[in-house]
Amino acid sequence: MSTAANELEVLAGQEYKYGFVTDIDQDTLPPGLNEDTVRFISAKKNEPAWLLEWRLKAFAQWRKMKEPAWSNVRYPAIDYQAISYYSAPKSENDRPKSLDEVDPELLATYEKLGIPLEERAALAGVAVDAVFDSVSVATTFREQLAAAGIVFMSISEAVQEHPALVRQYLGSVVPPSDNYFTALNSAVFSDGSFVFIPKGTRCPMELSTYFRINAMNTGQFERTLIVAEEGGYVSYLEGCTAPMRDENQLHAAVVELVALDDAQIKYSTVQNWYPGDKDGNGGIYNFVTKRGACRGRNSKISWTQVETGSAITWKYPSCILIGDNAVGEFYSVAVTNNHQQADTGTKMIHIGKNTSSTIVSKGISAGVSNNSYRGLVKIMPGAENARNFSQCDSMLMGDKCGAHTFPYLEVRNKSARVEHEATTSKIGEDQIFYLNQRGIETEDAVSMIVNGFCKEVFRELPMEFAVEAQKLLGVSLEGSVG
Amino acid sequence: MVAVVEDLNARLRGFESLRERAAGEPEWLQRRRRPALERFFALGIPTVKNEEYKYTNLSALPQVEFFDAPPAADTSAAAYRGLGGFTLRFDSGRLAAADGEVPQGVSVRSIAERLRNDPDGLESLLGACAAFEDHALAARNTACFEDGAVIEVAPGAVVEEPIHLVFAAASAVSNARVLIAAGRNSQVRVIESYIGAGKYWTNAVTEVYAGENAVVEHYRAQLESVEAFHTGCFQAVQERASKVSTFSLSFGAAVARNDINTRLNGEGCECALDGLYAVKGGQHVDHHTAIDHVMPHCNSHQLYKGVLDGSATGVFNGKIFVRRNAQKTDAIQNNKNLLLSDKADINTKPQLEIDANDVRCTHGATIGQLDAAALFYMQSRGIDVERARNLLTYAFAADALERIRLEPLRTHFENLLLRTFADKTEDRQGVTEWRP
Repeated sequence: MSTAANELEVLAGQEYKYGFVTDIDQDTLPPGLNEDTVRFISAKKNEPAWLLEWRLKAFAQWRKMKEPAWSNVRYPAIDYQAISYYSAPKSENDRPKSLDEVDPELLATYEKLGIPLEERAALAGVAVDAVFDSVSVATTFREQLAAAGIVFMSISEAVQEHPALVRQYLGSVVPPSDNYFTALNSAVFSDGSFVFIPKGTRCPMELSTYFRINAMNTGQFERTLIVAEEGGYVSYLEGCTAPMRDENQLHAAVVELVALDDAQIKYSTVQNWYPGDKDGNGGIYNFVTKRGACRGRNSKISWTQVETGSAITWKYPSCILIGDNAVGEFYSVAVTNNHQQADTGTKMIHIGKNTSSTIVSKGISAGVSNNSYRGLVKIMPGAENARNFSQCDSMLMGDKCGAHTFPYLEVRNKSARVEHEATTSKIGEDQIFYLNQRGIETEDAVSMIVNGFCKEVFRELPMEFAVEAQKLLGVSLEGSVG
Repeated sequence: MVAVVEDLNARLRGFESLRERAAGEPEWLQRRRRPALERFFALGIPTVKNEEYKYTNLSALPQVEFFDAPPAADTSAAAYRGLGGFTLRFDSGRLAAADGEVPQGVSVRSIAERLRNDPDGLESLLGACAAFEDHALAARNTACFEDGAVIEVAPGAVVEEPIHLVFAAASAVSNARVLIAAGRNSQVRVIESYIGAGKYWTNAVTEVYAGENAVVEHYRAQLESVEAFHTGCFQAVQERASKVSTFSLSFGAAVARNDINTRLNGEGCECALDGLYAVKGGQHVDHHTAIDHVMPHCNSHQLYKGVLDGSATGVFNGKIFVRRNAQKTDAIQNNKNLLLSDKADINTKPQLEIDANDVRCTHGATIGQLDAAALFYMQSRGIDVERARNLLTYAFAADALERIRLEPLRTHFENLLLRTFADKTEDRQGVTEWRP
């Protein structure tokens, strides 16, 4: 435990560790958004006509929509015309055949980020589909996965190689018109990951993508689509770091999960986009729509997230439990410090019989930040014997931060059992006293209590992520306890 | 079209007469009424697009103005055996009858009479607490009320005998208005009962000022006809170390909406907001509470229980605000619901907004059904299923009734509750009559 406390102390003094910029000649579109931008992106990616049409339709819808204002976050108006919507590494025209052909500077970036590419990837047992800005440049382990019949590639590749699959599932969980940011994403999405787990297949390794925003003023619009067929299983890891910037950068991603009969998808996120400096300058705007559909019987979707970064987080990973006996889970730790704002939570829509969902959300606010939990549990009339348990705990560090909870519970079936609990507290003086009295320093005690507070969520994370998450927690809470 | 124009004219004439009547009132009140009316027109009747009214559809309200006057209410419904104290009856918000003796240390008067004869001292109270900026219905009441009750408790007076205000509906729209001002170190108990028959709309506003160390015990029995609309707004402002408790019983009305707000303005305040709603058929009941912890060292406690049968719908939205300054706040909120039928709906949203760090705030919400094992156990002991069901339902709800400290009132409500769910017909008439 004392290691964690030392780390807390060491990291407290650190500047944002991943704040470096790689200088690579980029094929960047000038700022601005109109139909031509959409056409350009589509043409650049050599997309089929149906996808271009789909994008244009989304764009037309986006133009009619208004930016939502209901969330509990404040930020200056975003000028969507001042953002560049496409940026790809130069090697686009001449794709590298192997890692040796990949721009060494790019590889160095991955080195610095600690991405287990090359041998390290093999050692770590992780296949990486690394998104460098907008275009995937390297994919490993594809052969091994291909042998199992698993498709793991960038979504632009998937559009070329598996158009039928993409066409079937793209936008089927999160329709383009779902909200303002999904419409924008649908119109201009640059790249992302596509995973397809065929019938009866258990993915032999944990799949992982690292995202990284690298080009000045380039919003990143990823699109992730994961489909698990009958009896399939996959655990997907997503983590991200971004270089230090002064301007706010927009990040509007869409993640769609589809689980058919008996399929399981576990989606874990560690998010530490640049949160802005101590005075609230800069930082990423993270406006993400994540949704999973448990379409089949006995299917299960589990979201685990550790949100420590971004100036603003606006994110509600949701589960639509359509199949009978489907299970939805949401485990979240959201940490805000300094001027960060987080409005995050989940939606659990129970449609099938005997569906169950669990929500565990831990919010920690420090500095002058604001942390909100916003969630919906909806039991539809046909959802016999639906079960939900929600727990939302907030911890406040410092007297200038805020913690808010907005849980909505809508129940249309009498056989449902829905429980919601929430507490807000600071670190108990009696707890610290108890630990002090056992010879544990206050710093260690605080670290111990915070880690204990989040334990329920951390234990849901895959091993590698759990370690990273604990470290991140330390960095994010720098100087907030004394 | 002609009918619509005539309707509109009639409606406008209604508001015109307001202006004429207001002419005789003190200038400060006129100054308060005018913006309230303007605010009401600006806001209009809230629609479901308004987040605060997301689940409560009041779109039928504007039509109520043109309803014929409802039949006379059965006043025995609000005659609580053994209650004693002093009773005032208001028909359509206007004072109609008084019964019993005014207890020592308290003045209970009609607002209209008080305004006519000695309006002094009311300016800082009447309409000063019930904010109507964002509350169209409170704005409407402030603009339109003609009469009501003003209860002023002298500093240091401890009034044991309850003061009972009965609001009976006698016209299509009734504006009920209550003002309770408890002086320093005083104690008072007030009961409001709402009764009626047929179709009508009651729009009530209660303002409570609790001075330093004052104790205000408030009960609200909403026993309206099952065809009626009831919208009520309770607003309290508490000074240092005062205690306010309000219990909301909601059995009646087709659509009921209660807004219950308190502001803890001094240190060491306590407030307890409790309630029980038991509805069936197509009834809809909505409770919105908001506790504003402005100052440190205050406690608040909320327990709302709901029983929903038939195709009834229930809404609970509880907000707790803890301001930056309000350290050492202890706020507890609980909302428990029992669904007895497949068609019943419940929407609950416990909401915390906390800006101070040294606080303890918890909220809980549960939605469930009767325990099948308990039902089976009772049946195995020879209790038939209907009876077992009623007993369990009663046990669930009686927990909330424990909060009522006035024995006669509690007994009355317990009886009502038992009969409500024992009576399987959708017709709720007769439920309100009391049998020992």
